[in-house]
Amino acid sequence: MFAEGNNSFVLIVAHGGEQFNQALPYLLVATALIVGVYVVLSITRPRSVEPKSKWSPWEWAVYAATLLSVGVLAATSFGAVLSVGVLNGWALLAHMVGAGMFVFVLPVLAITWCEPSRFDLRRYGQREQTGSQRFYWFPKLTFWLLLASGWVVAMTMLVSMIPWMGTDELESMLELHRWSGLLVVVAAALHVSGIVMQRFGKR
Amino acid sequence: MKWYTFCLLSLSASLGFPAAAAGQGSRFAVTNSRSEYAHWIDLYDANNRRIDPTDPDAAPYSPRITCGRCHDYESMASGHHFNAMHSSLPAGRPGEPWIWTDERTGTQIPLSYRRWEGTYHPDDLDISPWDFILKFGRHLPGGGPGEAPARKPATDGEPSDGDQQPTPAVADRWRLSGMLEIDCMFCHSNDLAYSPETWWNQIRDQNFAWAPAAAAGLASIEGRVAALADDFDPADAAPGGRNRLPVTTYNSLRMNADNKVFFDVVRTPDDRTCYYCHTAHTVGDHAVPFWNQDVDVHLRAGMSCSDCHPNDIGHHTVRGYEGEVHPTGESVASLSCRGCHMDSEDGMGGRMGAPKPLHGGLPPLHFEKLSCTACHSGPAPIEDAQPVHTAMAHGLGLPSLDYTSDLEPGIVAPVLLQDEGVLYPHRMTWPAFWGRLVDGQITPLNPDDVQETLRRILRVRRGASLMETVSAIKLTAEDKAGVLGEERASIDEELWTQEEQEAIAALELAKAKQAWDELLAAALTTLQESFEDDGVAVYVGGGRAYRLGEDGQPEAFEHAVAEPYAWKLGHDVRPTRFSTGITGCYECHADGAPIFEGRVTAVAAVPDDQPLAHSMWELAGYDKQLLDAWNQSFQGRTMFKYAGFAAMGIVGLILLTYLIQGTYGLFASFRRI
Repeated sequence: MFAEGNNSFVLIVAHGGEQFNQALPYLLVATALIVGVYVVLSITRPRSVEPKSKWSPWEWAVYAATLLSVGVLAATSFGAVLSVGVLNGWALLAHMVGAGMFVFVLPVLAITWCEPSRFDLRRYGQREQTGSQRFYWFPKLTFWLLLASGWVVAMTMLVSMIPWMGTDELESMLELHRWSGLLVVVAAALHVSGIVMQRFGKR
Repeated sequence: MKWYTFCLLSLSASLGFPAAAAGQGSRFAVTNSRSEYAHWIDLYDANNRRIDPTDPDAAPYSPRITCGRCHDYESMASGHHFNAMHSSLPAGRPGEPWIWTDERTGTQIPLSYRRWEGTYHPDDLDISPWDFILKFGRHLPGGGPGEAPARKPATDGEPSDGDQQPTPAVADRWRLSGMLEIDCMFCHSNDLAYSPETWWNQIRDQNFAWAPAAAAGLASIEGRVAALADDFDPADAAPGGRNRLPVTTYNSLRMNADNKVFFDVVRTPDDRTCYYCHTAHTVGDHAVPFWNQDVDVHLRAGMSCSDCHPNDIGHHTVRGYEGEVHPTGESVASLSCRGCHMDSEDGMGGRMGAPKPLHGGLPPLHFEKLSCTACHSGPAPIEDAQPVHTAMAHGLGLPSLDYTSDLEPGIVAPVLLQDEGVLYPHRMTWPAFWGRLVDGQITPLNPDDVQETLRRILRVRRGASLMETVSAIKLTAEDKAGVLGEERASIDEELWTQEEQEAIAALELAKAKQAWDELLAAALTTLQESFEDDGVAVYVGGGRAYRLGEDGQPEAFEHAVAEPYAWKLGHDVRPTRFSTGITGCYECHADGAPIFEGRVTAVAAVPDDQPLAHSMWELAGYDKQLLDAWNQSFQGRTMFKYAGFAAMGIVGLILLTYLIQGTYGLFASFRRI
């Protein structure tokens, strides 16, 4: 279907595995720094504190399952890339297991958390608030980032499993999978930090 | 000198003279045309004297002098097919060795002047270049060992590979035989009349210097150097006598009025020429009959061997593997499978019209774990690795009455092994030789010395093999009755069932093994006596080493020298629809998949009723538990795909819904402002 396709997008993302491997440690450090700075700012300069909300056990379970699957995926993939430069063997198998969990927990997360993460954008003439007040903007933003990048990261591999694409396109999908996977981890880390700060009453 | 004169001279010195030198070019001729040059040329002998072909005492022509007048012979001699003895050159990727096979003693030793790991250097076994030529000259195009005595010793005074001085007797033989020079026509003849068989016959007669003229059909040769005594002096030969050097009679039909000879030369060798040395095909019960086998798909598409394996005048033939560095510095990245069919680093991917493979639905990880050849080349893996015949090992290309599948040396393929984490198909052989064990190290003995020592013990008839001799078991009626029972044993053998025939064959093999053990004990004892307490006599074969135990019986033990030697195969490339994995994931990712669980059984030169056998995954170094886990993960994968798409459909719908709502709300907010 796309086998003979060739466009600039393909050219940009293709054959970038080495770049990803080289950039990964710096990007992970950068993520940790951003989270750290955010936490420090939240602690030292607390703003208007949002009301604490009580989570149901179901919400806890879904969120925990999501974080667990993301953690497994990150540990197996980035761990392998950082230690031996390539994801294969048992690490790849564990990654596959984590992926299976992630694919099925993500829609549950989306259904459970989408409404609390709705932004407050009132329609024309509308006076009442439309968005949820449960979270402030930062967890909401990172939730949607997590959901969107999670969708991309899952779809890139699902699509690669069906015989639609040729080698270049599959390489592109893999590259897209790498970068979107990194984005999932970044989004999850930021989301957790936002949630935690809010739970501690710093935001 | 005026100042401007000085400036002009300086300028001309800095610019003009080098330019003039460059303009002179080489002393060797080129046409730089894609057309072929008609080679009507004079012949020259090894002493650089022009030959009159009508002279009844004409000398054999020398390719080194005749062809070397216009072509750089010394440069050619450093090319891949001739430079194995140049120890200063990189050995390159290990390839097919020369296997010294002596069926009388159960010997098959992989040899290589390149010192590839797992092979033996002929010098280390006291196999001289003379011996090497007489053993393998059938598939050598001359040069290398054929000119070893003419090679200059290493400049630092230290002997290097192939610089061993021949013994006086061998030196006398070289003096009479002449050098076996590189015969350009061996590969570049466009004439089907060129006969490698004649070449080999001349070599066997020790008529080295006469072989090129005879093989090309330029001359008929009368006489055999092999028939002359070592101390024969050509100057003392009586005219017309029997003891004289071979007589060369040139074929007048190949000459023109000026006594120039026509050489039907082609620049790039024909595939049939390459195939003379590089034919390899499966044999045995599972093999497609030879007449029904396909050649490499590239040749079917109209390409030739030299399209992907070209060379310069230095004859540095491109071998075509990834990462190959060409001595000329020219990039050859696009001459590997991946470089040509995918995108090579030199931007030449797709040359010669190479189609870009689709590999639809194949996760890219496979391109990191598998070589192209793993799925596309050689015989497809089946339950057992299959016996293979190769031209270099089995002398294909020459008429023989015995090309049966068990012809020694035993080689099997495909054997999939990892190299730096990438899976490649290999051919594999198991060394077999008599050796000496000293301080834990086993050194093979010279095969001819072994034959001399053990001739009376092994008692192998001329033309027979040790395997045949030991396996010639005649079962008694009692033996048969013991296996089949009185009634079944008494009927005609042709009426036996398949199981009964197999049971009898197993008994024969067990008895042959028993006979071999007795023979082995006697042979090791004899060999040990000849050692005079200098080491322990051993026999290596079938993946094991054997020595005499304290009870005087042979005992098997493990040793590194018994390990098989394997080399990567590149051909024949199969069509896409015959590629491994073409039918889907389960072809490889399922229990029992031949690519991982095919059996590789050691081939011995002697009877072995319990041969070493390994699964492909063992030899490749894979983790079986991991393979099994992968296979399990593929159970229900189709269902997983459907469910996965459904799950992502839900996520996608939610994203889309909120995106639309958000966008609408955003614009609404703007309008409110």
